[in-house]
Amino acid sequence: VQRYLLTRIALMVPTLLGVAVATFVLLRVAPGDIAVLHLGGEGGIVTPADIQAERARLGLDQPLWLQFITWIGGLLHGDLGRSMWTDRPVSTEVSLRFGLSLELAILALVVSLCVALPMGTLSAVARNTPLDYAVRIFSVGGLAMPAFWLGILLILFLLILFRWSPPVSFTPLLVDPLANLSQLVWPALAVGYRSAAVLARMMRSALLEVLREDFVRTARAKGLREQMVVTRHAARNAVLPVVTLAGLEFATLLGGLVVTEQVFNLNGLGKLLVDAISHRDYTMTQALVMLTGTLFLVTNLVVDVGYAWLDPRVRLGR
Amino acid sequence: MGTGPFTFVEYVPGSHWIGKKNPNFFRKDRPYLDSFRAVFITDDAARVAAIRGGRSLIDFRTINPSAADDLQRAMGDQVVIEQMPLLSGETAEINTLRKPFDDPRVRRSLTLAVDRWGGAQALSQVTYFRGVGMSMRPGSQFAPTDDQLKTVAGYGPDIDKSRAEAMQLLKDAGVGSGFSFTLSDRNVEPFPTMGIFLIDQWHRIGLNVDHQVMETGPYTEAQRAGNFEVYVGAIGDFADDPDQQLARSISKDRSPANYGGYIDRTLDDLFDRQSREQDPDKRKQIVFDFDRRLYDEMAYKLMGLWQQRIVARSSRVHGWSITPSYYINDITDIWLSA
Repeated sequence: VQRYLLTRIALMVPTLLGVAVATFVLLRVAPGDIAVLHLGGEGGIVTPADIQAERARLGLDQPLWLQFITWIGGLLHGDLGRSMWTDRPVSTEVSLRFGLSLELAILALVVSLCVALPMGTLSAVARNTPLDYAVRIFSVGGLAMPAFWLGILLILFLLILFRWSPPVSFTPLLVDPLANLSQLVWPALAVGYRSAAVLARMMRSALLEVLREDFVRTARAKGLREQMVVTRHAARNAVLPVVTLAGLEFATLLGGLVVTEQVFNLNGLGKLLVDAISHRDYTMTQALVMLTGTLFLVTNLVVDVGYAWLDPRVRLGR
Repeated sequence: MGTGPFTFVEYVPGSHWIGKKNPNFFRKDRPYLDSFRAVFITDDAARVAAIRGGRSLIDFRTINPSAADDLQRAMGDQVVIEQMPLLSGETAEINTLRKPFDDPRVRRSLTLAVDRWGGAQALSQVTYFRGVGMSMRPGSQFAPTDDQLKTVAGYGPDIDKSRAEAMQLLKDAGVGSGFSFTLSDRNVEPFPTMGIFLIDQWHRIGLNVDHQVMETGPYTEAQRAGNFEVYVGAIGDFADDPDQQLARSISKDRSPANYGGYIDRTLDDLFDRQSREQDPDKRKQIVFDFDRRLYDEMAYKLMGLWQQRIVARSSRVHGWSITPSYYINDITDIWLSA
């Protein structure tokens, strides 16, 4: 196990290096100049000399290879650099938002798993019954409906029926749990619905497949109750692809809730990334892409390890 | 902040500012508020919902008219809607170095095609656009009267006559019906709305316009590199000052913000004269002469429409006066009723 983990961690290094090179190059190739946007993005009058001076201040007049080495060198020392737009340390900007994004991703995943696992199971067990159709309509609805739109509907629903709207600024969980939840539960429901739809469909199709397996027939032949067959034998096997998908969903939820964050006015990582890209804030964008890439890799690793724990047939590293 | 009515407490990037009463403020009985929290909300619907749900008491950015109507219907006398012309408007900037836009007749046809009076009436129902004017904010000290405006190409009361003239000018310039060009635009409201409006207006004189909507980075780079035919630009200032509003329209070698690329010493001279003029009435006349040359005689660019600032506030908020710029908001005199 130790050797497997070390190999997987070692393989992350070239992957992350590839992500770093691709991000660095793509940002420089994309049109737009932070110096121009910084000084004159809103129609201000700036001279070419001002822009040149700003580029020099930001180190953008250096050769590209030197900029890359400086950035990578900083990363290796744990220094993410300073935001070119706000001039604050990237680590400060990220840490301000990471807690909110992490909490929202966890809440959304909990919501989606709590909904998806029982629904997917019921749908498979009661195949082609009204219950199955209802679950399938629910899951197609979740896939078809953008989370931000559902978010807007939720806000309107709360406003019209209760004349209440979620708080507009973030309160950390440890400061005031009630205020924290009253703000985050709604976006978690909005984005959790989409994830629940994805996971419920996966659970249903995986369980339908497992229910046709020989060992399930054997379990039934032994005279086990259907509930026991499904929960103890079939569902445990069917949940494996759901775990993989849930891991990927979690990584996506952590950095990809841009529009939903705007609808609920959440100051999260998704909004920060979009702002950084639109401002051509190279250091911030690079750091956030590296962070997201690392999260994906770590999540994948955790999922693979969890796979082995759930299914003894899987032998790590073989 | 500083010597102002409030002192700094906290700033969380992307989230909020907090200020508290400055005990050493030079006006001893002000400010009335002990503190304030200014929350940044970028989404329009979220800002309106925050007012409606009582999460914020005033929204300094403008909201659109239909949202204002909704708020008024839902909240009744618990909300106050105030509005006035905003010091911000959308323009169409023309690359005068590119054919056929190097021909003043072609440029003039573009402005003649635009029904500003009708557009303002229609768009003001659902968008921020309401004002008809040239370089100066409609209704401000140095802005022309409506009667003066109606003497300028593209501002006349008879739009059919204007468009007939526009088509004749295009014909004279050798630009046939169906001529195509690209309108570059920014992907932030209200730019795309203005772009769609202009494209519709130009279509009515037989022009086919491709709408290229870009994010801010490529949009500004295209301007600086002169890599555009026509783009939707903007005036956005904090004071009704002809020096500010006209500076971006003088010759390229004097204004780095002139992306149209033209050199016009007559415009430069008018700009300098109005800047030196101390008599407001005379200055107003020179500003009008400047605008007539800019938008009519040479038609280097065209003005679309000016925006309206519409502010929603809880009826608990008192002592605040609307200003023509959302950059400037004095909260010294604000007090809250129960």
